[in-house]
Amino acid sequence: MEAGYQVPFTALLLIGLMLTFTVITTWMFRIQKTSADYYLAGRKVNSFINASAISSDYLSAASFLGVAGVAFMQGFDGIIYAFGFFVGYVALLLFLASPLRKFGKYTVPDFVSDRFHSKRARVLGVIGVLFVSLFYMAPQMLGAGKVMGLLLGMEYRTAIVVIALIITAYVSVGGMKGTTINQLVQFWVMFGSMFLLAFIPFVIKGYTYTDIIQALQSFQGSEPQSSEVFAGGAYVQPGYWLTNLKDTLSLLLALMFGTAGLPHILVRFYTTPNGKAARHTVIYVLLLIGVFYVLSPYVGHVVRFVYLQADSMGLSPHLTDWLAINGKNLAVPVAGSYFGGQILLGIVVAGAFAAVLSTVAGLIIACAGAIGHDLVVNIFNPKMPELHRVRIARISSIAIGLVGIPLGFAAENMQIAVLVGLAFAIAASTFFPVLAMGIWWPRMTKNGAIAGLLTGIIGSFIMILGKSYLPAALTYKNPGGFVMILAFAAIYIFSKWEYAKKKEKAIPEDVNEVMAVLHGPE
Amino acid sequence: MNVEDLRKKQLKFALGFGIPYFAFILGIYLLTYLAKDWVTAQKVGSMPLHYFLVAFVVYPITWVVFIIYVRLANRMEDKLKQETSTG
Repeated sequence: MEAGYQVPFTALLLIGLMLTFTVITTWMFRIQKTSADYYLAGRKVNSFINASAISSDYLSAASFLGVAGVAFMQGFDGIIYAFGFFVGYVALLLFLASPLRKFGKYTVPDFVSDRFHSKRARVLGVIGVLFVSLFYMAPQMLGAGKVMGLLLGMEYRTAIVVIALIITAYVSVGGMKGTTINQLVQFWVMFGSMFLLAFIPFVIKGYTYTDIIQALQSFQGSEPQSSEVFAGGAYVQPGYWLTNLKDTLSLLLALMFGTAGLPHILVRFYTTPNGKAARHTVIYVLLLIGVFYVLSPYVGHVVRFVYLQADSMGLSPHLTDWLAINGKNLAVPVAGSYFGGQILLGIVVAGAFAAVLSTVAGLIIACAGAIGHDLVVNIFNPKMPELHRVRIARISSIAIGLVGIPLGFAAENMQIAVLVGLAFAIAASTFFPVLAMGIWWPRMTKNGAIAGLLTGIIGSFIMILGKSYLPAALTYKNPGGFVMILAFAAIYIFSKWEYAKKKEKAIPEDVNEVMAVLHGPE
Repeated sequence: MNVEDLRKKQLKFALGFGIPYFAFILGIYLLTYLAKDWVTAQKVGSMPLHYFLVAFVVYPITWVVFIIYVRLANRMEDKLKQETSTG
């Protein structure tokens, strides 16, 4: 779509969506009296609403735009993202959801600090939350900037600034309760969009998954515009993109265990009334996101099928251009425009906008909790009055929201799903080992926790940002699985070492009471 | 029941579901990438086996297994609560 192309229906839908969010947010502003209302919606969100909100938090631009995009680009290998994102919830359900809720604290730093009585662990937890969340926020801003910029004829950087301001405004005013209800609406907008994108080719056009796979496999010819030969046989087989087992397993482990370390997802379990409700919530989430992840790789494959036969299938030149230049991020809007014209394009854009809005909102709340609650209140001023705490929460939300602007600028040329995969790598290696061992291993010590957090943070930092300086044996497409194993080893070794030196004094005195709370009935 | 027994019981229960499930998940990927030629030649209905496993069947299997898990976990917790309250 060239600059200046008008999409009135899209604009109307977006305006309608924004008005709905504004009404919800303003309404919620009036009923927030405490910081627990702001961060945790008063801990009274029912399982189905919470599941829709969590799914919305989770189905970010990476899932809405990225999963179909990576399937479009990488064929069968791209489906690993849908598979891994989905399976990630199981680790959360089995090992963390219910015990964390029973422990009853606001944030991950709260857990590590209270479990090990260590301010240093709390500060490292805060650094971890910020590291994961900001890495996660960058691709959301990228998705928002690309889609909004192209569809509404806005320049990329202008779109980033506008979106960051909108999200910051509604999170800082509405808090967790406003965010939760907005996310409920946003989830169904997203889910409905993806459902329609799959429904039209599957039911109306009659393209079954098998038909599409067979057509891609037997395709002989070259890609439009680039004239590169398309290797259909390789595209639908394992190994087209993930060329070795080391990369495949490390990526899969990062996706499988990264979910269980994402701060903005973990904090949502504190909004359920109790541990049993936390488990029910995860089941609803598995049902909702499972259907979504069956549909989105199918959509990616269908778009590839249409793209390869652009002329004969009537794909317009500007949509063909979009796919040739940025198919990795724009396969979904192209599907909307191709199968449903302006109306479906409008719905899809609203879905993409909802995906970005809901996830960034969740990230802002998690980061604001880490800064406002964990750092400012718990480290610097534990006696701060309640009214000031809410003010600190709002100021932190505004600061984090605005950080999204430079992050969006920096991510401009990257691929959404791959960037989010790296955020999962940091989460899997920083928080999952500390939480899982902290909950289930009573002999874990303070130094073990600190070593695990440091290994996760520093290890991911080096292996992601310093990748070009490492030997080939230590470079991974996604290092999450590898660093996660190192973090588990660090926790074990340092806990044993501390125990050998201090004996029983190494173990927190209240470990039995904590284990009773984590694993006992409520 | 003392705290250590309680923790072990909960852990055993979680691992009882977790180990077979994650072995199944990793097994699908190992099978897909290590026995690529065999897997891609197999069909379920008319769908290639690797697509059937990774893009489709993992979802309903997970739903069924973990709906059962949540029911049993909550039932176990109710039982523990009863035991605790009766002494």
